[in-house]
Amino acid sequence: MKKYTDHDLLIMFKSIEKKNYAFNYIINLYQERIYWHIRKILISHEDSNDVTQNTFIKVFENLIKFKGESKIYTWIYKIATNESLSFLKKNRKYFFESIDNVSSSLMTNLKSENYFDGNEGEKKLQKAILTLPIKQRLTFNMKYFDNMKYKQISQILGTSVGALKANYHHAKNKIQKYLKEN
Amino acid sequence: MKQTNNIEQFDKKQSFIVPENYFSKLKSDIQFKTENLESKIGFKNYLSIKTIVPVLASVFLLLITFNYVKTFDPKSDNVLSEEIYTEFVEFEIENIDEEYLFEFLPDEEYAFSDEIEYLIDNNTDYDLIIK
Repeated sequence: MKKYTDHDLLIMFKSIEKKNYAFNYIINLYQERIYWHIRKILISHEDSNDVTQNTFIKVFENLIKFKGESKIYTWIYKIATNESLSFLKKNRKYFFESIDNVSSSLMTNLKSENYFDGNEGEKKLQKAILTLPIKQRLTFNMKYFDNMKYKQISQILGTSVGALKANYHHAKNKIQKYLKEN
Repeated sequence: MKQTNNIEQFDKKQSFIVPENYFSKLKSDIQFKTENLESKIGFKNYLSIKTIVPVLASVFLLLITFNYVKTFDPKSDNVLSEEIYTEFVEFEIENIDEEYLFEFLPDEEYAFSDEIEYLIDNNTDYDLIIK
């Protein structure tokens, strides 16, 4: 497959003839990574599937307005994160419940999830991650599993690099503690 | 299987899995939805103000023309002019100075009318007047 830069893709997307080609190229390039990012937040495959589709529909609707201030990938990642958090908010048990308190329902999802292939240790790690507050969880997932740079995570979450480093440090300690105690 | 308490010792592989051929299905699902979205956007553009305003203006003009053609009566112009003439004459008669009309009366009758007025004012017998 021919390689296109973000700039090429944006120009192609603005032309009527090449719009669909550019969008399909973007789907091919990012759908898996975006799906896995969402899956780590929502745990359930079905929910992740819905949110991934919604994310790409949002991309399709708004790419024309994208000014290229960040990489397309970072921008899509940001949409995916927001969509996932909105999904969690919508599915809270109580309206005023904090989004950090949804871990119990996600834990239930993890226990009943058919599409989980990890061993007991990996399941324990996932449970430990689910005990974290949402921002620490997002930071940990992006840093630990996706090997993303703090600067990139900062653009996605709108948090300073320093705060992200602190988030990651706390998250790691909490997970270590959970793993030792359970 | 080795159990570990240190996260650095975990294999960072993806523990979650997806159904077979999931990603090719995901791609076609997204494409299907965006194509539907495109046709909806196309329909919305079709119904945009730029299109609606000229269409509504044309329909309005057509309705006015149709109404005019339907109610048009060539005789109505004559009827109208007759009505205007009658109204004009009535107005003139109502506002005309009576003294001006006296000029057209013969002298005798004029005098006679003065006499009648005098008799009426003095409650004279009407039979006498007629005689």
